[in-house]
Amino acid sequence: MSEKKRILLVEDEKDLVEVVKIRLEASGYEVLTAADGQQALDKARAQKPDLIILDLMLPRVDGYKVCRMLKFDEKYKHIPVIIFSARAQEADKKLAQEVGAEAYITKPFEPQALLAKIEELLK
Amino acid sequence: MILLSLGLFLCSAKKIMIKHKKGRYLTLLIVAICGASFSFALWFWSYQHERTKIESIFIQLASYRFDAIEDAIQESSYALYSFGDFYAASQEVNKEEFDTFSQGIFARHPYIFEFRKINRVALDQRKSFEDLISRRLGINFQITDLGEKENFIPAVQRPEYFPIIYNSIAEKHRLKHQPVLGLDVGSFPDRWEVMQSARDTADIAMTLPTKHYGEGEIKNVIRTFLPIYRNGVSHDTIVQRRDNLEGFVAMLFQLDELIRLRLQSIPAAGVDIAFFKTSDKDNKPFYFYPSRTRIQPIENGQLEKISNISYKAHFKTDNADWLLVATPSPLFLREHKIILPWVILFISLGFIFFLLQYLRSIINKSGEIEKLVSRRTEELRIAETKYRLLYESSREAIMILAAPGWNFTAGNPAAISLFGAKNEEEFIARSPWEFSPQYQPDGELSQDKAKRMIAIAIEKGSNFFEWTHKRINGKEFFATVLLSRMDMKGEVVLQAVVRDISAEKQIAAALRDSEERFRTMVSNIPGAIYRCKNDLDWTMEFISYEIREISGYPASDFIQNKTRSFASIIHPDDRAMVKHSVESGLNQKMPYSMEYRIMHIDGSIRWVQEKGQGIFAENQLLWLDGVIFDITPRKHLEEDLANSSKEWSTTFDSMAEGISIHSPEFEITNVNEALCKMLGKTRKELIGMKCYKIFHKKDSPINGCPMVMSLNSNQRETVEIFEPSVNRWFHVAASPIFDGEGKLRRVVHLVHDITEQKRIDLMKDEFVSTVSHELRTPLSIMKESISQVEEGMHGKILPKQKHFLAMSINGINRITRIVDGLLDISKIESGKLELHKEKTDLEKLARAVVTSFKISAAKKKIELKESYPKEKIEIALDHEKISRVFTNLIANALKFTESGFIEVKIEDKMDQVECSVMDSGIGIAEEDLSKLFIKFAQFGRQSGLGQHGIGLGLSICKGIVELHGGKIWAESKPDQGTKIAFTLPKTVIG
Repeated sequence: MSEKKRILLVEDEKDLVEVVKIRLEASGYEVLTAADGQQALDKARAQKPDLIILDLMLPRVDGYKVCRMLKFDEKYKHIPVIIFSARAQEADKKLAQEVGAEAYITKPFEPQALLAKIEELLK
Repeated sequence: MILLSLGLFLCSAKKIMIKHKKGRYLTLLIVAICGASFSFALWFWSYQHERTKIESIFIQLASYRFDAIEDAIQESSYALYSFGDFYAASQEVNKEEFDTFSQGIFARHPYIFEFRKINRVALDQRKSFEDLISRRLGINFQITDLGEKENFIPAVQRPEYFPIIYNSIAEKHRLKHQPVLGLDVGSFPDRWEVMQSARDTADIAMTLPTKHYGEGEIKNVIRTFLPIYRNGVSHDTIVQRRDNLEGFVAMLFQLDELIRLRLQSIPAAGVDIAFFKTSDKDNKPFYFYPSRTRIQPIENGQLEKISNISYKAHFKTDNADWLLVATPSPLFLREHKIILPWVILFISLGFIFFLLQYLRSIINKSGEIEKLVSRRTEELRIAETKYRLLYESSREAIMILAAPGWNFTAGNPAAISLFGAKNEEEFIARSPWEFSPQYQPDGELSQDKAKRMIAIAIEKGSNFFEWTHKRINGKEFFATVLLSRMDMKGEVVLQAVVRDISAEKQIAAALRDSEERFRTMVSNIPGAIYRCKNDLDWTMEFISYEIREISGYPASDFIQNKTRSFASIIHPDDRAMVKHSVESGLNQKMPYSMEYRIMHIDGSIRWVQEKGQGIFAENQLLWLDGVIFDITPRKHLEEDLANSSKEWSTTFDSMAEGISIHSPEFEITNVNEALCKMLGKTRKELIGMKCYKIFHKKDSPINGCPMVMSLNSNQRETVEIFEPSVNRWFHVAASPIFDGEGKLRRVVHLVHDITEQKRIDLMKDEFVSTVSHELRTPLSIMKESISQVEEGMHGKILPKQKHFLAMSINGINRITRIVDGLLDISKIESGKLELHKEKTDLEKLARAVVTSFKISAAKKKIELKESYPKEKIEIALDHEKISRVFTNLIANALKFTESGFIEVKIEDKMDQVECSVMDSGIGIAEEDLSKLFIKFAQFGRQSGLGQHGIGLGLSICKGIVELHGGKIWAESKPDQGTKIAFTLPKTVIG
C-alpha cells in the first residue's frame, strides 16, 4: 500500500470531528481538521490534501465559498470535495453542484456510504 | 279787524263759489292777486321801517366818530400854536431848548413826527447865511432846490428862501467837508402857496397830504405852517406881515395815524370811514378806514358797492373842505340784518297758499257731490231698466199679489203664457184660485194651503214650495213657487215667481232608471266604486257593494256616514298620507292614487289601492270619484320579498369574508361591508369600478386572476393571491352566476384575508426547517458514536450490548426520518417543494422501488405482485419524489399487512396513468378513510411491531401527487385490505 491518503475534514462541531476522524483513521486515512472556513482554505492550500470533507455552515467563511475558491484555483481544483451538511434540501444540493463539489452527504450519515464515496473519489 | 274782514270775505267767497259754478275760478284768481299784493305791501312797509331804524343806529355811531376825528385835528393845531407862542416869546431859541420842547409835543401827539423852525433868508442875505451856517456847523452848506430828477441843485435866484437845515445830515458830512444842502421849502409851489396863506393870515395853514421823503419809509403827511414875525414889530396888516416875517414853525403830522389813534380808543361797532377833500375836482377819497386796523385809499365808486347806507360829515380846515363818509362794515351789516320783513312775507304768502288750497278743496268737494248725485240717478235708472227687462223677458212667471184678497195685480209675459191667458187683463181679471186645482197632491185644500204659504212668506220674507197649478184650459202641472214679501209705498205686496217643473220631474224619473242600471254595473266591478265629499270623514255619497268584500262593513254604513265614516276604517297611521295624496291630486287637478291600510271588521289589516279624481264644475270641487281595490295578497308578497331581500343583505354585510360581485366586464356591481373594510374604501367608491383597477391597481386583469379562470371554466375557482399594493395575502373564490338562459351574468368573489395565516405558516416552516437542521448535527454525532461502539471500533462488546446499540441506531434513524418527513410536509404545504421533472419510464421506476422491498417482504412472507401495462409509459415527473410515493405506499402496506399479498399496479387510462398499491391487510374503517391524508392523523389501525410512524407519509404522498397534477385516494374495508391509488397526468413536457 502506498502512502496514506490525506483527508481534510472541515467541521465546526468538535464532537463530530472526533468521531468522524476516528472512523476515517480506522479506514486508513490520514486526517487533517479545520474548524472554520478560513482555516480550511489555509490548510488546503498549505497541505494539499487528497480529499476534502466540507461542512456548509461554517464560521467566518461558509462551505460554499471555500469550495468555490478552491475549485476556481488551478492548483487545487483537482482535490475532490464532499459536502457534508445538515441541509438536505434540493436547493442546497443543487448549489453544491454548482460550486463544483463532487459529492453531497447529508447528516446524519451512513458510515458505509461515506467511506464508499471517499474510496470512489480517491480512485 | 283784518282777520274779521278776512273771515267775512271768506264766507262770502265760499257762498259765491258754491252757488255759482263759473265764478269759482275767477274768485280763486282774485283771492290770489289780492293776497299777493297785500303780502308785498306788508313786506315793503316793514322793510322801510327796519331800514330807517338801522340807519339811525348807524348815523349815531358814525357822528360820534366824526366828532372824535375833528377833535383830534383841532388838538394838533394847538400843539403848533403853543410852539409858535414859544418862539414868539423867546429872543433866541437854542437847540437844547427846541429839543426839550419838541420831545414833549411828540410824546403827547404820536402822529406828529417833525417840528421845525424855518428861517426866512432874503436874496441879499443868502451868501452870508450860507457862510454862517457852514461855520457854525463846520460843514459846507448851500441852499438848494429839488431838481427834475428829484436831485438837489443850487437854488435859483428868488427874492427869499426858506431853507431847511438837516442837522442829522450835517453831522455825517462834517467830516467829509462836502457841501450840505439846505432844501428851500419855498421852492415847492404847493407848500409855498400854503406858506403865503399862513404868512398873510397870521394863522396856521395846512397843505394837502403830500409825500414826505424822510429817512425810512415814504409817508403821506400834512404840513402845517405857523408864521413867526420879528419881535417887537407890528404885523397887523398884510404888508407888515410880509415885511416882518422872520420864518415859520412847521409841523408834519400823519393824518391816517391821527385818525387811527383817535378811533382806537372808541369801540368798533362796524363803522368804516372814508375821508374826502371836497375841493378836489374828481372827489377822490384818499383814505378809507374799513376795519380799524388798516387805512387805505379806495377807488371812486367802490364805496357805493359796499353799502347803500352811508353817513357824511363835513369839516373844514383852513384851506379845504373835508368830507368824511361813514359806511357800515360787513360786521355791522351782519349784526343788523333786515329779517323781519322777509319773515312777514313768507308767512303771509304761506297763508295765502293755504287759503287757496282750502278754497280749491271746497270747489272739488262740491263738484264731487254733483257727480255722485248724477251717478246715483243713472244707476237707479239702469236698475229700473234691468228689472223691467228681467220682468218682461224672464222665462219664469212673475206675478204680483196684493193684500187683502191676494189677487194678482200684475203678471209678466211668461206668467200670462204659463197660465194660458190671452193678455195681462184677462190674467188679472181671474181669481188666483182659478189657477189651482181644488186639492193639492197631499190632499190639502189648495185654498187653505195657499193661505198658509202666504202667511209664512209674509212672516219670514220669502217662502219656497212646490205647488200644483192649473192652466185656464184646465190642465194641471207641477211647479215651484217663490213667494217674496215686498214693501211698496207702505203697502205689503207679494211677488210670486212660478217655475214649471213637470219636465224636470220627468228627467228625475229617467235619472232614477239610469242610476239603477249604473248600480248593476258597479256591482260587477272588482273594486269598491265611490263618490264622496272632500271632507275629513270622506263622507260617501255613494259606495258600491264591493266595499263589504274589502272591509267587512256593508256599503250602507258609509253612505252619509250613517253608521261610520270611511275615514274611521283607514289605519290611523295612513290617514294623513291619504289626505295629503288626495289634496295634491286635487291641487293639480290630476287623478290621485295611493296605497294604504284599512281595518277590517274582523280586526285584520287589509291593504287597499285607491285611484280617483276630483270632479270639478267651473273650478268648484263637487266631489271625488274613484275606486278602491283590495291589494292585500300582493302586499304580502311584496313584504315577503322585501324581508327576504333584507335577510340576504344583512347576511351579505355581516359576513366576515369579503364579497364582491362583478359583471363579466370586470365591473364591480356590489360589495359587502367586510370587503369595503378590507380595502378601506366605501361602497360608493367601489361600485362601477373595474375590479383590477381597484384591487390590483392594474390596467388589465392580473395573471392568475380567479375571475378570468372562472369565466373560462364556468365554474368555481379558488386562488391565493398576494396583493403587493396592500402587502396582504388573500384567498379568493370566484363563482359564476348564470341567469335563467344559462348566460353568465355575474361572478361572485369570496375574499378571505389570509395574511395572518400565511405569516403563521411561514413562521412554522421556518421553525420546522431550523429545528430539522439543528437536530441533524447532534443526530450525526450520536449515530456515528454508537455505530463505532457497535462495530467494536472502541473495544469488544457483548452480543447483548450490540443488540441494544442497534436499537439506538434504529431510533436515531427513525428520528431522522421524522425530521425528513416534517421538512417535506412543511415544504409541500408552503409550496416550496420544487419538482425536477424529467422524462421517466414509470414501469422502470416502480420496479426499482418494489425491488428494494423484496427482502423485507420476504421476511414477512408477503407476496409482492406487480402489474404493468403492455405499452411503455414515459411521462414527465420528478423521479425521486414519485419513487418516494411508491416507497411510502409500499412501506405502509407492508406495515399494516401481516399475511397475504401486496400488489403494485400501473394502468394506462386514456390521458392519465393510475397507479395503485393494494394490500390484504387489516384495512381502514369507513369513518377513518377521510382522515387518511391528513398529517399527524393516527387512528385505530394497528401497525406491525416496531412500525410506529407519525402519520406523515400519506400526506407527503398527497402533496407530491397533487403537485404533479394528479389525485390520490383510498379504498378500504376493515379486514379485507386497502387500496391506495393515485393518478398522474400523461404530460410529456414538464
